Amino acid sequence: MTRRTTGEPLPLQFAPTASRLPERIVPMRPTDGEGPFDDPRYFFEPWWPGIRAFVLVEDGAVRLRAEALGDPTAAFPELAGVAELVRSDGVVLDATLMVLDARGRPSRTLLERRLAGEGGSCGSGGPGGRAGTSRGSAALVASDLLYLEGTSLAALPFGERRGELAALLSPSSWCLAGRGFIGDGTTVATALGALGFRALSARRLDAPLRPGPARDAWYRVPVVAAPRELPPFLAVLRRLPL
Amino acid sequence: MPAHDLTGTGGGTRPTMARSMWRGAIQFGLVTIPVRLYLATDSKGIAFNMLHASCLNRIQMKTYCPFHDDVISRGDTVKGFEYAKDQYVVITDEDLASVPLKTVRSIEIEKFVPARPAEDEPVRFVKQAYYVEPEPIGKKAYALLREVLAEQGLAAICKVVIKDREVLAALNPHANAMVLETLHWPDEIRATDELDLPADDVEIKPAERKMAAQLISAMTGGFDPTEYRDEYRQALEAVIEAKVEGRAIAEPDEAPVGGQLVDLMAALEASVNAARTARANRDEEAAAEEAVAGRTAVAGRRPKKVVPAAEDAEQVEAPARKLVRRKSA
Repeated sequence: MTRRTTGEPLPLQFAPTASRLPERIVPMRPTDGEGPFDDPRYFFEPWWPGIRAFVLVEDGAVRLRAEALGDPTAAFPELAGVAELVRSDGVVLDATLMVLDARGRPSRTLLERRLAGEGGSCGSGGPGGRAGTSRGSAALVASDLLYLEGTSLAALPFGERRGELAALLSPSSWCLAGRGFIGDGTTVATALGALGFRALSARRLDAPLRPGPARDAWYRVPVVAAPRELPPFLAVLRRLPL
Repeated sequence: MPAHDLTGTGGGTRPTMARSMWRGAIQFGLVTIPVRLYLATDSKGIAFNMLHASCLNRIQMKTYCPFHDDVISRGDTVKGFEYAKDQYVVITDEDLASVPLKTVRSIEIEKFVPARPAEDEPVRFVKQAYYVEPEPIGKKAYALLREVLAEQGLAAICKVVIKDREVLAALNPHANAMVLETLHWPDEIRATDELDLPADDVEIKPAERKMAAQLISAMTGGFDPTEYRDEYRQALEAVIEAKVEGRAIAEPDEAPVGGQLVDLMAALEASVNAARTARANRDEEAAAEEAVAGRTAVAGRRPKKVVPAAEDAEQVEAPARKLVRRKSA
């Protein structure tokens, strides 16, 4: 039995070095929410269509750990550049890893191709430099900060971790702390539905990091892509395959 | 002459809709519907010519005989059929003329079958699609046949003589027209035996099956061909155009064009702002009513409506205070 149900904690093994970072991270697991809600204690952001990845930055080196993957670093060589964007060391980010197509939209196809190991060999081996269009570019949206300077931030409330994250990460075209909104989850859900997102992440601002089931600290709320009276340009954006 | 073209490459004819490439009649019991065929598709590949690298002149392909070590004229060649390795039999024009050819130009309907092949039926491999247009006197019969086919969900399997040769074809209703798809003969279709395919008894766990089904359902949708483009050809055309105009060719860029993720965030923000505005307008009246009724939001873990207006529920990005710990480092 190699498959795990999503409810169980996922042990992530790190290489045994003299690291200040933990060898094993038990991630916080979101609770399935029923629908969008408004609550000023919650922080709402898109559920980015990618895979959840933990990015470890230590001594200028970047390591990547993703669910159900041995070593995604090989498939995403670009991510070594995260080290330059992080203004500190001994850092663990909780992030979503995506692959953007030529028009800058997250593409599941390209992501799956990369994960299947096609990106590296096929892409660069293609004739005439077609690699650029077929591989897409990796993008990382960070949503939480787990470690800073080798110290766990688990005891801090999410709002403060998020503030640290924003201060830590210099925004670039491919790696950002995600945009989020406090309080009006239903409005954000409407907007996300129009943009083609499938789900909303709702994190409680005063909740500390809790390994395993998040209970009310974090909800994954499904979003209904309902057509709304939105400006026409948003109707175009709705076609984004998110 | 075309009858002798055994290679079947069809020469370099460039089809246009303007000219029908076949005239004949659909034969259906005692009914005859005179029709014309037009190629329904166009191949849009980009063709190159071979030039001599040093002088850039178009090169010529000469017929060369290695035995005589000499260039010979095409008139000095005969057709040979390789019946065994390096063993040829010469086929003359007379031999070809003796092959009984169908000269009646007809689309003979043999059978009606469901338009969508049943699951156990082999795939219908389409060679070429043609639009079928009725001659003026056949319009009514044409319309009748098309209507009935569409109504019953049927296609007509027929034999057509095109270029003096008989081909298998399927006649399908298509919007207000009919499309004739020529099919490969069964013996032209290769078997899958030689492929290394998974065995029937591959063990698939229910969880894996469920995951695959979920993935598929998440990606399921209607097929709109206009969503797809030949991006390789477009890129190649751009390269050629740039060269023709003497511009430098833009290297295909491995790195993303700046601001992609930023654009996405901007789109998100615009969308949320638009939704907020729409919401605020809608809520104005409702809010007034609620104020009169003196209702306050229900206290609880998840109040249905946020108490203050959306305005001061602002974006996070900045609020948290700096950790003192970071300053010492």
